[in-house]
Amino acid sequence: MINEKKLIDGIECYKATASFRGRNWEAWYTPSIPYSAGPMKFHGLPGLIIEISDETKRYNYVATKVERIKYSIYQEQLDKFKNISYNQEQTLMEFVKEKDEAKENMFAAMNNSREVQIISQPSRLRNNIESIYEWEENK
Amino acid sequence: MLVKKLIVILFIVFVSSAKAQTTVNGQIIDDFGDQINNASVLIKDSEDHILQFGFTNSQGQYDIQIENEGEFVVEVNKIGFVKGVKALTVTRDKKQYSLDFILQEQSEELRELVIEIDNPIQLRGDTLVYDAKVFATGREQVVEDLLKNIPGITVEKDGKIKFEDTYIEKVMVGGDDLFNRGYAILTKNMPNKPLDKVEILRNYSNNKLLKGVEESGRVALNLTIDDEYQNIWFGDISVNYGLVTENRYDVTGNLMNFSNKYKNFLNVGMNNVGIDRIGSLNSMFYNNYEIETVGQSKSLYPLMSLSGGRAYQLKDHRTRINNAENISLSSIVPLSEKLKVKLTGFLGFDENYAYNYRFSATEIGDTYFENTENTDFKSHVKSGYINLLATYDVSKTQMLQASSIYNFGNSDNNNNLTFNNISTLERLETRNTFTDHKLTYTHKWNERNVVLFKTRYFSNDIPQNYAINDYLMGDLFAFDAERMQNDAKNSQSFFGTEADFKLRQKSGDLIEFQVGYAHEKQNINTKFSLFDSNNTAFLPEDFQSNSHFGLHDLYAKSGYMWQIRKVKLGVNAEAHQLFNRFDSGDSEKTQNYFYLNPSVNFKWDITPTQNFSAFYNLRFQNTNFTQVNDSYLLSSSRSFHRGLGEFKLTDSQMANLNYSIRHFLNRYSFSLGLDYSTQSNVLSNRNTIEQNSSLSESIFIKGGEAYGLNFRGNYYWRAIKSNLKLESRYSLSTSFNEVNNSGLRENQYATQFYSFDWRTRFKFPLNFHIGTEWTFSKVKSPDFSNSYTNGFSYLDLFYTVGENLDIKAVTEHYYFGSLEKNQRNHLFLDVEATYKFDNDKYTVSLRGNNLFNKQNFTTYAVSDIGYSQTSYRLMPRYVLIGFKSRFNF
Repeated sequence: MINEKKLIDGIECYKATASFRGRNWEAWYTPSIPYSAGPMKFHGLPGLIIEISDETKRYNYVATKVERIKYSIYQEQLDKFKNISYNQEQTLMEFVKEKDEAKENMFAAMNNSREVQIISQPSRLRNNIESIYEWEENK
Repeated sequence: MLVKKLIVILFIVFVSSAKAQTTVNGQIIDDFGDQINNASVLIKDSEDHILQFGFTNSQGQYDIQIENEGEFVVEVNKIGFVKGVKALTVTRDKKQYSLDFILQEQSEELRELVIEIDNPIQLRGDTLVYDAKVFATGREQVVEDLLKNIPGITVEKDGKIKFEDTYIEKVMVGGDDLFNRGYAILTKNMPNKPLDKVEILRNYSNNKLLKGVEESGRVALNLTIDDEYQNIWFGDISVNYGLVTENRYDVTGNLMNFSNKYKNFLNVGMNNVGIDRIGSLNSMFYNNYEIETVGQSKSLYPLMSLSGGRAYQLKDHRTRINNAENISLSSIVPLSEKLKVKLTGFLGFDENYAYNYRFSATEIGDTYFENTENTDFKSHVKSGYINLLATYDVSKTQMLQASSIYNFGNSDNNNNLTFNNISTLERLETRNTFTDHKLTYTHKWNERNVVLFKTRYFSNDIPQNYAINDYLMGDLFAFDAERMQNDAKNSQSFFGTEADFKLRQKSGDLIEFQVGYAHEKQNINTKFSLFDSNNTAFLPEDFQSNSHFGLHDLYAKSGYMWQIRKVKLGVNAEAHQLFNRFDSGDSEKTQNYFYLNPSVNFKWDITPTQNFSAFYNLRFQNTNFTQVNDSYLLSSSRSFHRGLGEFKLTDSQMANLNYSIRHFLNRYSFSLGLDYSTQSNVLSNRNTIEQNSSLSESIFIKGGEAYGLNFRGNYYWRAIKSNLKLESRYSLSTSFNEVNNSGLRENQYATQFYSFDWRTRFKFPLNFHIGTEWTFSKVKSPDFSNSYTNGFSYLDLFYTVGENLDIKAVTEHYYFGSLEKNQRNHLFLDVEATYKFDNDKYTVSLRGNNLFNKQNFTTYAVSDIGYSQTSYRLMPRYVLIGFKSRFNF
């Protein structure tokens, strides 16, 4: 937590920073809405996260509207989520490995004609929100 | 388990180093004594900084540790209650403080909050808007560098841009396009500093009123410029010059200027290393696709052609021996808020040379002869065009577009032709003028429905003069000719108008239909004369034309696509009523036809990775005017062709089945296809071939059949980081013709094709791509059959060091099994090295072409009347040193 404040559209927000899976994030939360929630996997602050972005500004989340929803509607929404079934259980590590392989396959298949020149790839294959996982750190 | 671990990690991240010393706890209840759970409790210092925080548990209790001593404020927040605030003084002696709160219920509930923030990425319908300043890190120099930072965009080495999986259509500046698919000139040169926003337009339509109505998976980019950069000039220059070899050069330059008002683009080039930036005289009017129009497939060809001939098996730059210069200029000028004009001009000059030797053997029944032909060919081409495009926005839902093109060109071809040791000189001069006017009005009368009214008029004139200083056609004419001459003129005019309705249904289906009328006229005038030694002219009858053709076509087209779960079924039909007229001076014919061309396509996504598709169509076609013209037209120094003398409808049916396994996440893909086509009425030729001359005429006969089978497999082998590809094709076709009074004879062609290639994707600097392709062909005619094997293999080596140095070596090997042993193998080597520095601002390159200095290339071909062997002179070895730089001011 950093003791810096700003007004976002009239709401007093406090700043917090975090580093998560290869990116550094800057969050603005408001204690006036005392829910420790936020977008993506971000939560745990003494107020709702109104704005959060990574330092490259490639990923940005902003609350556009805060609405008080009656309990019954909330319950209805929740029921929908319960209905999603799955048929395979795997750890995050397995999932990430499979995803990386699929990406490599796709790239290889794209570049198989003689006319297409291979383009130099960025050293980091994963160039999305989560780019370095816990088990890969300090490697 | 993992989720828990995650939460723990996050907590550790946010709740920084809580070294517990003093504890504050307490309970929070409301007016009625009920416990309030999940209320936030903040410990703030006197400056309103949050030091620690916690939440109440289900019993309404909290427990927070404080590190320091001093004056604090404890604040309790819970939605629906008034904030509770109490002061707290922590001293060194006391380790435990207790503060309970009773919160008052708040009559005013949390109001609805609407927050507006400038987000660096905004989504407006199908358009994604990126704030260019936010995505710049300061290291970028040109637009392309900035685009690389934008999520979803991939930039390929040659400048091609992809958004997600789709290549983009064009890059516009301020909504205007100057480059079409040649946008790399813009993105590789324009400095990124003036950029304000980068907009990605998904489901893009060239006609903005068709947006959301027509089916479009296209993507375009639009760049907007900051107001302060009203006027910037930028571009690049590239100079390549021959090192050891004779005088070779390749020079190009681009200069651009963008302001909010005018946009200009100038491009110049000159080379004699075999690069074609001018195109042929015939294709010059296919340069405008900017507005929807009619009659696109109508084009006029010169009646005669004289070319040096080039080996199509080789890459263009190996066989093109040239000397070319070109310049083009485009400008966009907004005349008013609603009216915008784009003006484009082009001028090109080209000299082409060809030196070939051809041997042919002909075998028809008892006739057998051999011919040799040596060509020493030179052509001069000049061509240019001016194109004016105006767009007028009548209102938000109506738009008027007009385009006018004036194209002009001429070519002068000279050939020293030696036929069976007789040396001659032939010359063909061709002029081509083409004017084209298009007008398209688009009206979107409601959210889902659009109508386009398209009108077009064009005219095209191609006069030609041919002369040869000898007579090579033996006893074809009973006249002792010393030279011959042919003056030909082919001219055409077209008028067409069409109403095109696109109606998007509530269900999302699209219904399209068009009704239209087209009128075409064509005149063919030729004067073929033979001259004897006294310069007396002889004009053989049946070899002169003065023909006029006319065609009125009333048509309607429509189509619909049904989608039922995983199956898509599309049906299309075109109905035409034709009124044909043909007048050749002494005879006049009118023929009217009505026909319907249906087509059906079927697509079934069996699973997300397996697809099955099928297609069938029946197509009737009217004979074109050149096929109808009933007098002989000279087509080369020794051959004539004559049309049918009447109009006919030809037909063809085609069907194919295709099965594929493919998914972008899979390591393998596989497809199998089967094609079949048949023609019951077709135009073929009746040929009268002699050693010195050939007369051919169109005949209307039964058609043949063709079968095809093709297979394609691709596999990515991860263990060796390699992509392997296997392809094979098999085709068998039969067709009929007549040669030298043979009566109808059946010809069979069979081809087998196999290819295999292996491309690596190693992480280290050296990679390769190796492959081989083999074709086995067989031709069978009643009294002639031949088969041959051709092969092609290559090895491409890539060596890349970092971002700066790139070396590529291309080795190609050709094999022609039917040639004499010492002619069968041909080997080529090209090497290219580029070094970039100062953030790609400068590039130094070294390019070596045809390093084995292969002078000639020989090919072998088989037809139903014999075989031929042709030897082409190639672009000799050269080494170019090059320097490229971009600039802006």
